[in-house]
Amino acid sequence: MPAIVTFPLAVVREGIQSFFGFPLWWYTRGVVLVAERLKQFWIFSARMTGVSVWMRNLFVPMFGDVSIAGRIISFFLRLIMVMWKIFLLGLWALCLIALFLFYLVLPFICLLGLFYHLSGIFSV
Amino acid sequence: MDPQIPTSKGPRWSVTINHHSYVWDESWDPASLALRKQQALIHKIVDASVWGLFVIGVVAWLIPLIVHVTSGGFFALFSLQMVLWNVLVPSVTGVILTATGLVGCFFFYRLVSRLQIHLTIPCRNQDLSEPLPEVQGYGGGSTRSITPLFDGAAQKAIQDAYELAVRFGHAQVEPIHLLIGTLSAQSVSVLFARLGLVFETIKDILQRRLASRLPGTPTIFSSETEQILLRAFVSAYGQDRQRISVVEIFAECYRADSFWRELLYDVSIDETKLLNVVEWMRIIEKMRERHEQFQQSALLKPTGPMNRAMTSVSTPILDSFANDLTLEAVRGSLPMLIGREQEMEDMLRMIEGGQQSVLLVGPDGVGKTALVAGLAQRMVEERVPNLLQDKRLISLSLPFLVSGAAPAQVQDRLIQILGEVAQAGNIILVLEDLEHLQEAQGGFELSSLLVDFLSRGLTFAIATTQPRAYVSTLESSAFSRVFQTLMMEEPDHTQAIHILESKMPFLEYEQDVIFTYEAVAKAVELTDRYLHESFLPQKAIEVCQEAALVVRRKQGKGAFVTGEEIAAIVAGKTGIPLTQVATQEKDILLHLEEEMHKRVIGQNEAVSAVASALRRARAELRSTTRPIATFLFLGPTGVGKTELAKTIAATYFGSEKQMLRFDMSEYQEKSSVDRLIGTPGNREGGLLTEAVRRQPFAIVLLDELEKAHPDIVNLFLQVFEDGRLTDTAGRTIDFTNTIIVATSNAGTAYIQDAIAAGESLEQIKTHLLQDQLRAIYRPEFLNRCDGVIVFRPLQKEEIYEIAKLMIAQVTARLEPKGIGFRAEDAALDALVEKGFDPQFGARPLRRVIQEEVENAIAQALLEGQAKRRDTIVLEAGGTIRIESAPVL
Repeated sequence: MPAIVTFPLAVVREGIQSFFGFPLWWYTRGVVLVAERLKQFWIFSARMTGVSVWMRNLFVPMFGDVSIAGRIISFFLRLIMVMWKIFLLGLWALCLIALFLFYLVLPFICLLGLFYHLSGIFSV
Repeated sequence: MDPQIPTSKGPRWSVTINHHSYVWDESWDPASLALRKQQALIHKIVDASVWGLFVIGVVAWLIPLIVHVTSGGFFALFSLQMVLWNVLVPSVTGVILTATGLVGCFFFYRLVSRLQIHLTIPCRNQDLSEPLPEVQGYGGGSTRSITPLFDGAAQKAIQDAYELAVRFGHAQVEPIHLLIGTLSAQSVSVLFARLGLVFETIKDILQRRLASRLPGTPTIFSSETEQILLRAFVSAYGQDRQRISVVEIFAECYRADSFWRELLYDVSIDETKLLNVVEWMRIIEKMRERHEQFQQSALLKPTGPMNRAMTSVSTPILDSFANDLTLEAVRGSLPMLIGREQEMEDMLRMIEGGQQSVLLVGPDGVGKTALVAGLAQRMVEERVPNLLQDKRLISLSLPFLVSGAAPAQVQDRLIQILGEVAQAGNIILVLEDLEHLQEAQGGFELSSLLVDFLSRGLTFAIATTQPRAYVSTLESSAFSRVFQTLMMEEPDHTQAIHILESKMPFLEYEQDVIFTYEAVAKAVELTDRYLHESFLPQKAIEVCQEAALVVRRKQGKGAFVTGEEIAAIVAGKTGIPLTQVATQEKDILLHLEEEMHKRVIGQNEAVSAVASALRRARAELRSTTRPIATFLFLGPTGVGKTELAKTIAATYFGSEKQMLRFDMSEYQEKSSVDRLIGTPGNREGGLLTEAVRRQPFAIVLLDELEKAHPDIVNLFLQVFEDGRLTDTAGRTIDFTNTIIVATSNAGTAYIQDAIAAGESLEQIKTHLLQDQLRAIYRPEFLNRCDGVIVFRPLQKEEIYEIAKLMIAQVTARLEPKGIGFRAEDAALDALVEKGFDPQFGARPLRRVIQEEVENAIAQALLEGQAKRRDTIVLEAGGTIRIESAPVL
């Protein structure tokens, strides 16, 4: 067959093959990749908040105030700050998990939605 | 391609890393190549189609939305109807939205799955000193392909190599094809530019080489090429790179292909040169990677006085006398540290191990400040031991601290600063040139304060000093209790070249010029050889900065800085001719004897020995660790020994002023050594050492050496052998650019008798060395002289020639007065008759000319007999006649 026929066919074949490879990649390598990126993002966020630094220094007085009152205030302030940071990180983790779940269900939602809308239009 | 699947054709070579066999197994034949090209085109078309569909979908979904918003206002966007319309109520818009979502997912898959690399070069986490794996014969089993590990340019180079072999109908893709394939890559073009290599100069040779390859079909990859590609992979692995670049292929081709090595050698590119340029490319690439990583880490580093743990306090007094190096590092204003890994590891180990302060001892310019800057960068990245994490590196300026205040005030300042440091608890002090503290007024108290503070473990410091100051001031002080010493040596040539290469991007950007490798290498080589007052790499960097500025001004933007420009800058600083021998100078060097004979009459052996030494020196064939030449001139007085030395100064060093003359009869006492090299405890240096330090490119004339004290002659043994001498101030004076001439009248009587007896100069010299000189000079001294040259007594004919020269000198002296002078032949004969004395050489002649000629001329001038344009003629009998000029 001449190239003018075979080439478009090859393009179509590639498109179709790729389309069938897509769900497989999405739920295997794609899942791993997205999970890994989201995890890295969360770790970077945790480093940005410095929660581990604050936990390590829980009993170290803030602003160099080594008086007893200073130590007590510092301990409680650090405790509150650590809890707040953990809370924020937890919330952020939930957001990222939601994003991950969204990644998992997105093709399904789109596919189901497409069927729903198409069937709705044609049944009317 | 799935790397786990074994290839059908079967690889021949493999590399084993972490129990995995890596092979080159890509099939290369016209059909596969065409298929791959078609595949790439198909990928592009499909990607573009999917992207187009996605854009159309988004637009189609947005248009009704925009219409809806413009008709119903912005808040209509959030209305329930809108939401239901799109999602819940079956509609065309809903179809578009969901279909676009699917297409979007599909596009994401196509884009990311292609970018996501299934196989990466394994990380080299092990000990870096461990040898790299070898390429060995493939023994079967499952393999991983290295093909996807080549970056885009490298893959194109391999493809170009294959296509070239196919185009020429060659049976195999050989290293030469691979090499030519790499030439179109941008990085290799840069590499050629750095080497100063123009492709046109090697084009014909490459074409001839290509034409001689064996023809055949189908074209396959040769075994050598396969090995080269695997070695490029090993090289990338060794450097912990993520991809195999085209430069790695180029470097491995060079290593493997003897033809290519010979070809480059022919155009003055040896292995060291090429590998250093390859390293230059790698350094730039690594710097870029490190900069990207550094920027990410810098986001986490606080830029104020407060640390992340919020344990510190503000330090206003310290801040007014100090620089925050970590802050400067975050802002990117500190230079990136290249090399010095060992010193950095040692420093961190000292800090971590002993929790002690570190004193970096090294001469100015070797990189002490750069090492501290490197530490600041590592602290920003937190790539440091726990002890240094979440800390600030603060450089306290000692001159600022001690200036403009009474000792008591300075102490007060220091106490306050140390108090702030102790309270903040997150500060590591940097004290550059620590000796300033000890040498300041009240230095003892200041040092004690600091030592006490550091010994209490409240913080630690990194201080720097120079070796001389360390020995004289710090070694025996209390500082030695709290500081561990880390010696920093000058980097070797290769390290200095790499450091300089890392500075080039900034220098080139600043001045908009391009440095060739030759310029970089020359900067290191010449500064190391000729500038002894400063140290590498700083002195080489300074010379490069100057050269860049000069080239930019003279040749404009984008010009190349070559070795010649660097040589010119160093020559300007030292007065030593370092640029390549120009054609005019070549003629002078080739006819040096004739040039010298214009001043020195006779003494052919001496003149030719000296001329040969000078030619060797200018052609860079001499030893660079000894003086250019060392001569011992022997002979009676007045035969031309000093005149020859003056002639050397004038012809080789450019002027008679380039002669450092020492009358050794003034150094007969043992204590005279101090006059030559300086008095112990005095920093002024000696007459000899200071003269050579100021004028390193000169002739050193040691007149009548036999009269000097034997200890002084012994002193010169070291100079003759090593080309250097250390003065009492501890400075090493370089004699490698001097010519040392010692003159001696020893054995004069013997020489005169032997000449009279008709002995040859060679016989006389042998006898002198074996007998006459033994009592005066030690054999090792005579042995170290490049030439012991015997000047024979002058003959009458030679005295005649000298008389002509002297008359010419008189003529030259009268010329500014506008008066000519000439001597008749008979007058000359009479002068020679009177002035010839075999015992005293040409000296009596000088006296005769003074008395008979110059006196007569002086009288004539004073009496007003000779006017401008007149000529004075010396006649036989010593009378002078005035030839009046024609009346105008």
